[in-house]
Amino acid sequence: MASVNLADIAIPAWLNRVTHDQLNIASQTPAHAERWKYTKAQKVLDLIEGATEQPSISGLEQNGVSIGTTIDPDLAALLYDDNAPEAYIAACLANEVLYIDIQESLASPINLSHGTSTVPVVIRLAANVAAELFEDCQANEDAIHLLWIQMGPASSLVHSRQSFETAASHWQFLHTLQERMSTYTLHNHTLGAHLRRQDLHVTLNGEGAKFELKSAAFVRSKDHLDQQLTVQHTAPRTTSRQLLNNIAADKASVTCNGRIHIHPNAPQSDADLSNRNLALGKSATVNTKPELEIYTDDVKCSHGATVGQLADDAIFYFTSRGIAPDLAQQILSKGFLLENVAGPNKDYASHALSQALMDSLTGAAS
Amino acid sequence: MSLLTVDSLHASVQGEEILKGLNIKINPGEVHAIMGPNGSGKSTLANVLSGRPGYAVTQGIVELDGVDLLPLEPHERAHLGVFLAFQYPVEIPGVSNMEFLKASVDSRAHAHGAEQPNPASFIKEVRELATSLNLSTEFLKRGVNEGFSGGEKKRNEILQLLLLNPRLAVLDETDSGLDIDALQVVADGINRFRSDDNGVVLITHYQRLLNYVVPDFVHVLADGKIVQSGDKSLALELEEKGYAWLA
Repeated sequence: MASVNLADIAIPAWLNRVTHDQLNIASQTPAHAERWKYTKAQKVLDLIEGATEQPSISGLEQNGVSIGTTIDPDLAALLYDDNAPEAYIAACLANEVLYIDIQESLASPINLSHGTSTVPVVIRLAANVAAELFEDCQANEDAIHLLWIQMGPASSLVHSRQSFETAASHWQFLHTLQERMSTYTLHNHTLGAHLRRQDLHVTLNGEGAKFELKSAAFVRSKDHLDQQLTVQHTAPRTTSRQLLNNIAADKASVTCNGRIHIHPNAPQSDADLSNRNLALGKSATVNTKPELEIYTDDVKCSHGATVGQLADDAIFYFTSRGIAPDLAQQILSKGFLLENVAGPNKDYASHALSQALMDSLTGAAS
Repeated sequence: MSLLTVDSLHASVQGEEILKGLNIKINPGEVHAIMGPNGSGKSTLANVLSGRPGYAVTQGIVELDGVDLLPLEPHERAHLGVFLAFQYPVEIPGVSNMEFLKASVDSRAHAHGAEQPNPASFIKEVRELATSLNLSTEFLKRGVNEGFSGGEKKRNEILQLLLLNPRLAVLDETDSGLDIDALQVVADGINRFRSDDNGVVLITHYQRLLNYVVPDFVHVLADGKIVQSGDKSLALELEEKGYAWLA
């Protein structure tokens, strides 16, 4: 971060609530260095200075949806996050922000497609609104995609995100702020890329808010995937469930850092994170680190991280039925990956992930 | 020719010799029950016959229909007709039972140069088998053995036995953990499998399974060897007296 000259950033007036000093401090903390341990921050910073375009969107013609390119100055606070100052910088550098305001429950999903670097997107759901979001990150060039979601009381959102373009570097930043009794479900289906960095921040900021993540990733060749998750429980009786199954094959590198932070004023919160990794072959790299920060006594919090290869007893079960070991490996690996594929886009995502996995295991991949 | 010939079999697990010169011959159409105290080598025999990694054969002969099994991988033994019903069937989330069964049947067909079964008739056959074993067809969609009770797992093993119709079935304590109704269902499945063309090795701790599946021979395994053989009355005698009198 030190190489970024923050003084050169023209911060729009409506965002100018954070001083350069604050940004500099945030970007030089040990926590920040830890977040950028496995991906060179400069690569991402280079991306945020590039041009951005509007994403391709459908589903906006429904009742209760309005869009704009400016946002309420009160939302500026949403865009700033001590844990991700680079996202704030990217928002400042962009000339515009696409703002989608959802005031009524939607009959059809909103489809958001990124064919290149896109302007930051803010989606706000009003109270009691139910919606579905489908996001496709398909840029075949280096790109950034930033998305902030603000969920009103008792709103619900099912968000399916697929990222299947591998021949580029992508930074995907997502921050969801949830108010009372809101429910956010994220289905994250992804392949690795030359560089794929996924930052996910969820703030459970109202009593009874719930967040559920199911994620499946397959990373092959010399590709890279770095997932940095931060879930903050800042209100009582909030719930988070995170399941991430990742496969690293060949010389791929996969990182998953999952941080759960339960604040002092969040009693009876319930958080669980499970990151399971399958390393196929001896040259793949897996880094996984669950982190818990708990500042109140009355909570349920659990995490688990595993890195391994296919279980010998599972392979033997298959081979004892006449299934050759290489086919057993294919079926078992696919089963591991697809265990976490769910949501409205399940069939397509299952096919895309299975195909990439089979191409890799059968040597059909380039 | 015998269906299965095991002669002077010595086998070790992690350097410790478990089987110490075991002999058994099974002819087509025969059911052989193998009983014995804990640690006598019953499960080791089952695993050695099916080729489980980690079980080292140091001496002896194991032949199926005159073919030496020992150099063969587990899947190659399965293609020749060896089937192991697991004592602890493995749970595999993410792979549906149906996919697992289809892969098993297709692999066998491929090995024999036969055509893969028609998917529609395959599904029909599997569903009928499941129903006959009191297994809901819903189980076929779920992960392999995932969340199954002990009894359901064992019935799933019998389903695979009937579907694959092997030459030699090795049933490793398939009766353990079953209530009396489930035991009856499993026993019925084994009896349906029995024919003049195949053989069964029935490993069990208890005589009660043998009330339903009547064996042609009963062997007592102790300290890695068969120390006593007889007919079904031997099982009743063991039930009454235990194993100590054989030592």
